[in-house]
Amino acid sequence: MRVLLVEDDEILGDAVCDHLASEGHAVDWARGIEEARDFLSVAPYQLVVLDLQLPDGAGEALLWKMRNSGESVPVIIVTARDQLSDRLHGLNSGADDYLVKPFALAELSARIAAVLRRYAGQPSSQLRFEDLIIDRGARSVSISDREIELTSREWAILDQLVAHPNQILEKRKLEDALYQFGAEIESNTIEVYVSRLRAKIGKDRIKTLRGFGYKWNVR
Amino acid sequence: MERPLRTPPALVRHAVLMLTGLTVVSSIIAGMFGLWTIRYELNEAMDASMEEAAGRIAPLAVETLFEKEKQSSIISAPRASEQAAASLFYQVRDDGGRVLMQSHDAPAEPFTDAILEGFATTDAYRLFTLPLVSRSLYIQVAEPIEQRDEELFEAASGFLVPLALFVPLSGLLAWLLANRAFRPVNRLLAEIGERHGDNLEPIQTDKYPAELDVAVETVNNLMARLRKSLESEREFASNAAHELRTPIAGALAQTERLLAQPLAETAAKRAALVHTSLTRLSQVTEKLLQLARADNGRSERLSAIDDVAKAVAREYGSNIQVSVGDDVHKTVRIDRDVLAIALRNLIENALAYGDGQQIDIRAGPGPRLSVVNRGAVVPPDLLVELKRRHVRGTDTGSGSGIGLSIVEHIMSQCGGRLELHSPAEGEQNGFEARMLFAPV
Repeated sequence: MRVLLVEDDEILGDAVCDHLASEGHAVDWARGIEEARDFLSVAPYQLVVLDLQLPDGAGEALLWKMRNSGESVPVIIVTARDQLSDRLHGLNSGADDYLVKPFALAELSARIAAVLRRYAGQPSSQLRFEDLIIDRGARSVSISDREIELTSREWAILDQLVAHPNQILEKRKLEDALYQFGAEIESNTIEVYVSRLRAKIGKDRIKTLRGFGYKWNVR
Repeated sequence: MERPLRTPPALVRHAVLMLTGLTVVSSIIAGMFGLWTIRYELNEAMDASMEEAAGRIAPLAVETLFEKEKQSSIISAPRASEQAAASLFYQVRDDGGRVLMQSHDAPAEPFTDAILEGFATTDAYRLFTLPLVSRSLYIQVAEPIEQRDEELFEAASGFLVPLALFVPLSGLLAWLLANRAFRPVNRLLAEIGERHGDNLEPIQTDKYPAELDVAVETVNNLMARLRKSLESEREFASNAAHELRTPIAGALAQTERLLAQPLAETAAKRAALVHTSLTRLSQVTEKLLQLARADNGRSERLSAIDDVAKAVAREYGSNIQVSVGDDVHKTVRIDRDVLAIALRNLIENALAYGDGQQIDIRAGPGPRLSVVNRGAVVPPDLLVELKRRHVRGTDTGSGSGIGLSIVEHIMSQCGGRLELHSPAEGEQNGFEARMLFAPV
């Protein structure tokens, strides 16, 4: 998943980037509002993690602009402001969740999963496809109660596919979701990960539409 | 804080006593002087009229006496005078002291034993003795002392009664005037009384008499300093939140990333220790920031405690239920953010020491909010201890032990109180922390 992190603190930002990348997300890191605007104008993000006190302005201002321009990407505010008024103001500005610093990285992951679930209209984090069970919250996959080990890249592709059942996902879109700016992408990278995924969860689940992309088949 | 301020009664009483005392003393002096003057003037006038009466009666008396000698021994005395008929007696005596004649209402006994010319005073009479016929006869005109006193009393009461009435009247006037004079002081006190942490507007000098200028300026200077220090405290609390939380968050997150990497055993152990220590630092910082917030909260009218409870409960997810009673009094005086801090502390306490099942927040009856958790009954002596700072409940909890005392501090600042109950109201067991607010 492609994530935009807006955070001016180098040490915290570095750890959050590292953590999200380890979970298979592609993270672009903006240190201020201007930079964040530039990123948002050129890349399709599936999530924004937004600090409020930024060197070139308030995070809420960016959020307002995004919501007013019809941008519906999920936003999680991560801030040092812990007061109820701040929280209500942040949520009223259009944020989907509000996390107060300091926080455990696992907590951030759980909040991200919950927000995405809400967007996908799935009340439970568990998805069932016959004997295949995918838990997007716990990031686990099992077939007939047998746990399947996935790498973070494999997981990221699977997560994208199940989020859009029976829809064609272009290869380009999967690349955008998996790689941040500046990452080197080999031309056949996606194909490699998809074939590895098929080997682990079964061939028929992911359909290839040559020239278009991939589709998560749900009967 | 809210009680109306009035002039201290002692100040008015003091002024009234002083003024009335002054009036009483001057009235007494004026009365005594007046009395002395009247007495002197009255005696002089009465003595003069006695002397005049003696002079007028003497020839008549002598004539009557001589005629009587020719006729009989019955004395038929002429009247002393028309005006003084009721008040003056007289006796005509020979040089041996025998009473030869007397006015009809005078006593038969002589007024005095010895006869002395001129004015004299006995126990009962004021006398004037005039010698007649080459000192062979004397006429003695007498006036009862009692009567003189009566005259004096009548004359004196003419001014002493109004003077006596003037004393309470002047007391009343003094009281009215003192209250009127202290009215600016009253107003100033009331205006100072309206000032509190959220209203430190300077007091206008031109509304008060010049004598109060120094007091007003001093109060204004003090308030300006207080305002400055309160503002910087609030600013500190808000800045400190950012300045402290962000680096702690960075350090914690980096340590978590370090722990996620494959590490040598000792390195992993040290990283875990750093993480534990940072977590504790973060908790303590959190509580200190909460205390700073609680101290600097503005005391505002909050019209929906149940909404705050619901918003705070949402922060913790689905295992916190908020129930609002029909008889809840929702409007209380507390800062919304400060109430949220209190609620978070109680919820965290319930999460730490409860049995992990559902936590209830109950609004009402009346102006109160309770946080209830299930679990074993807490002994009464521990309940008392719990509110003291740094005392933890059962060892299973991992809090900093300062939470309940923060809530208690918050409640006492907003005029309410925190009560701890175990078992919870209407339950067999569990623990209830009840915030009772002062009604608005």
